[in-house]
Amino acid sequence: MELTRFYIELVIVTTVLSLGAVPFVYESALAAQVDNRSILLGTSAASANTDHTFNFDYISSSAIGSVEFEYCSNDPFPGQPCTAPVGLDVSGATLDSQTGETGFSIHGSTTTNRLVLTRTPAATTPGPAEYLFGGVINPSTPSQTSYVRIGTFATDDGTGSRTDEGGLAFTIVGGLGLSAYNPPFLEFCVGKVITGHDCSTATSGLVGFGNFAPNSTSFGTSQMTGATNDGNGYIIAVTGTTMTSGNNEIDAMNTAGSSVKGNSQFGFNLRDNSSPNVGSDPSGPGIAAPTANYNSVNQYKFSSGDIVASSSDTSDYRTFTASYIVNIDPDQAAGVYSTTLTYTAIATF
Amino acid sequence: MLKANLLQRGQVAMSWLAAGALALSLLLPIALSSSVEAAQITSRKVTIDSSATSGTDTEFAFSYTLPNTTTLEGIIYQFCTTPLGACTLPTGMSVQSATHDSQSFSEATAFTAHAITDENDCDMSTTSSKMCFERVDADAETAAAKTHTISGITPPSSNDTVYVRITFYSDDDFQTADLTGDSGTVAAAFVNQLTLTAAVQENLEFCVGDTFTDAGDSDCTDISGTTVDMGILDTASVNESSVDGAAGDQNGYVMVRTNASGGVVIDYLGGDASGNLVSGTDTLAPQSGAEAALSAGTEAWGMDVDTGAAVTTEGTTANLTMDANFDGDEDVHWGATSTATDTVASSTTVVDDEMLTLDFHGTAAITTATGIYTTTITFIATPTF
Repeated sequence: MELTRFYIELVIVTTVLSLGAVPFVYESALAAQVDNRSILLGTSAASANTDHTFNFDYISSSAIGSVEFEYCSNDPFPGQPCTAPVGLDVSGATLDSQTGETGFSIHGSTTTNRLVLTRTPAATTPGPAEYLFGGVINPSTPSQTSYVRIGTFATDDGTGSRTDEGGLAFTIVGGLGLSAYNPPFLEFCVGKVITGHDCSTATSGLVGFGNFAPNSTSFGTSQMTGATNDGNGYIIAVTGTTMTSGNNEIDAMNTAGSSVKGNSQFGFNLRDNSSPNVGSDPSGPGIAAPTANYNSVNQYKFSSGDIVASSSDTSDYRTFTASYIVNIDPDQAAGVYSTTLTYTAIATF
Repeated sequence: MLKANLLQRGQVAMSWLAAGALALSLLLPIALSSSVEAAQITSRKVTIDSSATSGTDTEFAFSYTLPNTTTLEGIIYQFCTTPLGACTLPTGMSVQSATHDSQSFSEATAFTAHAITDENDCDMSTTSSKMCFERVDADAETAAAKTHTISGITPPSSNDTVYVRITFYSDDDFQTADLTGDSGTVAAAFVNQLTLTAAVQENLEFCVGDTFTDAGDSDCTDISGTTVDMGILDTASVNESSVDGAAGDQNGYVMVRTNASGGVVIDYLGGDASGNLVSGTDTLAPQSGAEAALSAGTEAWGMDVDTGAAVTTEGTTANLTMDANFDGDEDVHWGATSTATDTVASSTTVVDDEMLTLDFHGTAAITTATGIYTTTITFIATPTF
């Protein structure tokens, strides 16, 4: 007798549970599934303030007054209990654009993980729609899949049974950091001749002037090429002495001036001159240029320590031709005059 | 004396008459039983092709063994809510559109459905629960197992047990006198259908990293790390991230798995507003045009999908297609900025653990300012379900 009673009670309990489950399943079965549904993130970076763009097709043509976008971390099934993704916040989202079914605005019942759009209920046209939300804070956990449950409602506040519904999935991923090191670079060379701004072609730096005479100007050239990736650019300085022969010397042109035959003068510039006809203007893709004292045609100067050329930024290859002139006065002591000039390129990285 | 004799003879005659009557009364049941031989059909059953309460064409396949060899020209099937007593047709059931499907009788002449008219016991017009079948075949049907299948029956509209009472006639006019005496009842139950449902949830597994360690399953658990170093740039050569082994293997890896029937699109973001790598205020320009091999000394950087195709190690699909700017090996491209995405690969259907192996190439020009150039690349997977 007692056993019989147990079975009867068990059947009753089972039946009650079954009846309780029926409305839940039935509600889901009534709604049509929205097609072609997707969510495009402005960025998938964790915690980013970004856009979320939803695309989906309305299926039913009945009146729709609201649309919900419920973000969950547990599953994409509308109507099921929802666990909000950690860090996600759509409460400050803005509806930046809408196409297809339009006329929506954000409803006041929107929470941190449930966006509700509202409008006066109106018949829908089955087909594609797009809703772009700005100001969405992404979930904060990288490498985690989150879900969005889309539902449409006849009511204007996201309540009641869903007309159409569907789930989506998106993943928050960590960014891939890419790096590369571009080391400091300064290339500089000096030679008698440099071809094609290529330092490997530089020839010997010996410049010969021949025999000096008071009634003529002796001249000669050398070349130098420089380039740097220093954002502050670079300078080229010259150091050395004027031309000497023992204790005798030719006067250095401490002040820029013209070449005057019969005057004791030693100087140079970096231009294409006509008096005398010597030199070439700077060439090459770089931006470095002669400094003012060495940048005037037919004006020559030499002071040890002078900066003769510079750039204020990175500079590609630039070749300078130094045009030297020598004049002597009639009583210039005989001898073999020479000097060694040192050009130094300096970049400050 | 004569009267006495006559009386005696009368008594004898009466005795014989009584004896005859007694003998007749004893023999009559025996004679009658040998002519009718009423009996139940055995091994009887009915098989229905569906127990659903919906539909209009349920098939009833009867199977039974006739106990007697006799002429068989009529069968009446009566569909009732009870096996005995007054017959009530189950609610919603309709049986008189039934048709003959097949039979296995010793006599080959097929039965046909009787019209909805009244013909003696086959009063189909009057009694909606009856369905009669008839044929003309005077030869005796053997006492053996038979089958008879009919269809076109509308089942009850709700769960119910249907009892089918079966009677046989030796003539196709269904007179009571033609009852063979064989009969029987079979039963079939119409019940709830059990609806089985299962939900497969939308799925997306997407991961990015700088190290891939194949543990035999080749899924996102095998990808880790977040940095790729192209090394020290040089104007004389093009650096490729995969040849610098400072940390990890210096490739980038992107793996995706989704059951989205509409496929998945993999986009990426990175660089500054123009897609440049950045070092303070200095920039290193991307290869923003069509994919191409970089030229040493001509400032550029870009991304290349190794071999120009996705790799599926242990996955089951090969559905990812590279964008036109990433389908060539050793050619690089960078079409994204810090805010504008560019697509590297996509599919039009499901994808199972397909992986992109990414190389990053870079070279500096003479004028490319010194510095450590960086950017953070963000990959975005957008499945369409």
